[in-house]
Amino acid sequence: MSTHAVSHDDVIHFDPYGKKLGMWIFLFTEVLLFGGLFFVYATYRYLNHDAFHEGSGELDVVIGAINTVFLLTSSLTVALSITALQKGDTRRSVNLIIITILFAGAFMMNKYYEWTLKYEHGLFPGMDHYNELSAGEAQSFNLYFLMTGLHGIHVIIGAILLLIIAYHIKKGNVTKDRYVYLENGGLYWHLVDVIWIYLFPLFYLII
Amino acid sequence: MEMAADTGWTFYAPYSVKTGTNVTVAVLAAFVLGFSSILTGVNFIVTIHQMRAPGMDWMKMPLFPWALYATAWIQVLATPVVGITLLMIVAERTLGIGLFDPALGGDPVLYQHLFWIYSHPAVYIMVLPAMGLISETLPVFVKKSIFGYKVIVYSSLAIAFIGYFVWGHHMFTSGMSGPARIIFSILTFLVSIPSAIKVFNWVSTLYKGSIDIKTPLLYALAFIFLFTIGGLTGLVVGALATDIHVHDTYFVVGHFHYVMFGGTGFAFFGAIHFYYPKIWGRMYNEKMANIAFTILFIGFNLVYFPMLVLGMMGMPRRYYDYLPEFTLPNQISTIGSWVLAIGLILMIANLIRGRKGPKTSSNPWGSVTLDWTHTQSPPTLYNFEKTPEIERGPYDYTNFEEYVNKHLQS
Amino acid sequence: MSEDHSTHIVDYKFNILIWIDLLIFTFITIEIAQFDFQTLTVVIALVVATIKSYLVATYFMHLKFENKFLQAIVIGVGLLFFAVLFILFTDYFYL
Repeated sequence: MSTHAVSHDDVIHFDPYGKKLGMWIFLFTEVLLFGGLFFVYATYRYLNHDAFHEGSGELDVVIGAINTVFLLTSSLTVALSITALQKGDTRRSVNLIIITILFAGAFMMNKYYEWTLKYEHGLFPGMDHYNELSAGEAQSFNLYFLMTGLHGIHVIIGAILLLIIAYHIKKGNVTKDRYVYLENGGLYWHLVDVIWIYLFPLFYLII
Repeated sequence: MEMAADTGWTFYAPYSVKTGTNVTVAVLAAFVLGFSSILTGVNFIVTIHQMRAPGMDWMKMPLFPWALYATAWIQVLATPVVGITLLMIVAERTLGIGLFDPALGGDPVLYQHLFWIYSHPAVYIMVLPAMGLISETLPVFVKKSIFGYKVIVYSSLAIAFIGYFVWGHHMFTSGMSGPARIIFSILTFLVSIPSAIKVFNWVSTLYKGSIDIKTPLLYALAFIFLFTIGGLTGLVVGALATDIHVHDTYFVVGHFHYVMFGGTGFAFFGAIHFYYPKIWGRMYNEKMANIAFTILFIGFNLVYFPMLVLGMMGMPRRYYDYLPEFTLPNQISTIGSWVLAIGLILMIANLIRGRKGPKTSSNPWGSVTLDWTHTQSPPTLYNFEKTPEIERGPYDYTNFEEYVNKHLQS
Repeated sequence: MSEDHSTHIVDYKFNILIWIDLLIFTFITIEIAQFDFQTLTVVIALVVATIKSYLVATYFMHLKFENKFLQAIVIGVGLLFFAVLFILFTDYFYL
C-alpha cells in the first residue's frame, strides 16, 4: 500500500482573506465579551438612573475627552500605516505604528492618573468613600473599574501586538504584497477604539 | 481549609461569591476552557469558508460540516458572554466588586441571565454535531440520499440562531417578569420546530430505502427515538404552567438525559462504530456490538424513564435523600444503571478488541462521501492523495456500487 | 479556495478626513451632553457613538471595500447584541 505523502506546499496556501475573516470573527468574540459588561451596565443604569448620574459626576470629562482624541488619532495613524505599507513605504509605516503605540501609552498614563485620583479619594471597592456610596452609585463604580480596566488591558495587548507587527515589517516578513498581518493588527486596534467610543459617553457624559 | 467548589456547575451568585471553597480556580479553569471553544469556532468557520475542495459549493457540502459550521458560530458568539460572567464572579470574590450583591444594588438574577445566555446555546453546541452525524450515517445504511438536504441545512442554522433567544426558560421560577416568561416560552416552542423538522427528515430518509441493519444504523435509530422523547419532554418544561410543577424535579433530569445522552451520546457511539474502520482499517465484532447496543438501550431507558415519572410525582433534584413514596422508581433506575454499565463496558471492550479485528477495505460500508471514497483506511498523512474532484452530490447513491468500486483505494 | 486580496488603497487624505469627522462628532457628543433630554439623552449619546463606530468600521477597518458576507456578519453581530439586550430588558422593564 503506497503511503506517499502529498507535499506540504499542496496543503499550505496563501489566503489573506481567510486570515482577515478569522480576525473579524475573533473581534466578534471581543464584542460579545465586552457586550456582557454592557448588558450589566444597561440593566443597572436603567434601575439606578440618578445614582449613575452621581457617579458620572466624579469623572473628569476633560481627561475622558483627551483620551478619546488620543484613541481616535491612534486609529488614524494605524490606518495610515497600512496605506503607507500598501504604497511600499515601509519606513513610514513603521513610524506610524510607533506613533500609534505612543498614543496608546499616553492613553494608559491618563488612565493611571484617573485611577490614582479615585484611589486617593477612597473610591476603590473596599475603601471608605466607596463604602459610603449608595447602592446604585457603587454599581456605577464597579462597572467603571471593570469596564475601563478590561479595556485598558486590551489597549496594552493591542500595543504589544502592533509592536510585534512593526518588528516584522522591519524584518521584511510583512510587506507591500503580504500585509494581512498589519491589517489584522489594525483591526484589533480599531475595535479597542470603538469600545472606548461607547465607554466615553456612557460613563463620562451622563446627565 | 480549601475544598473543591461546592456551588454546582451553574455557579449561581450569591453563593458562588460567598462560599469559601475553590470557586475562583474552578471558574478560571472554565474560562480557559472557553478559549478552546472560541478558537475552535474561529478555526472551523474559516476552514469551512476557505478550504473546501474545488467544486464543493456550499450546497454540495455534506451535512456534518454544515452542523459544525452552525456549531462554530454558536461557540464564537455565545462563549464570550459566559467568559466575562465568570470573570465577574472572580472579580467579586477577589476584588470585592459586588456586581451581583443586592446590598450594593446588584441583582443575582442578572447573573442567571448572563450565565444562561451562553449555557443554553451550549446545549446546541453539544447536539448539533450529533445531529450532523445522524444525517451523515443514515444515507449510508439505506443507500439513498438524505431526505430534504436543504431543509436540514436551514434547520441547523435556525436552531443555532433561535437558540440564542430562549435562555430564560431555565429561569421561569427565578422571579422574572411575566412578559419575559411569556416571551421566552414562545421562543422556546419556536426553537423546537427545526429540530422536529429534522426528525421528520431522518425518518423520511428511511422510507423505501435499502435498509442494511448494521450497528451504526441501530444507534442512529435509537437516537431518533430517544431524542424525540427528550424533545417532547422539553415541551413540558418549556410551557410555563407545567414547568411550575416540574422545575427542579427529576423530570428535568430525565428530559436532558434523553436529549444529551440518548441524543448526543448515542449519536457519538454510533459514529464511533461508523468511523471505526476508517480510523483503524479494521472491523469490530458486529454481533458483540449489537448485543452491547441492545443492553445499552434497555439500560438507558430503565435509568431515565423512571426519572420522568419521579419528577411528575414531585421528587426534587439535588437533594441527598428522598421520601419513601419515591422508592420504587429509584430502585428501577438504579438497576437500570447496572444494565447500562454492562452495555457500556461491553461496547468499549468490543471496540478495543476490534483493533485486532479483520482488516477492511477503505470503504466497507459503501458510502459515496469523499471521506470514504477518496481516502484510505486508515487515511494517510494529509488524508487525500490529491485534491478530490467533486463528481456528485454528497448523498447521491445512484449507481453507487460502480462509483464506490471505481474509487476503492485498496 | 482563497479570494483575491482587496488591493483597494485608502489614501492618506481620505483617512485624515474621516478622522476629522470623528473629532467633530466627539465634540458634538460632549456639547449635547449638557442638555437634559430625559430618556432621550442616552439614545442620542448612543446614536452619535454608533455613527462614530460606523465611520471607524466602514473606512478605517475597510469594511466598505470588503465582500458582502463580511459586511453582513458585522451587521449581524451588532443586531444580535441588541436583540439579546432587548430580550434581557423584558425582565427589568416590567418589574
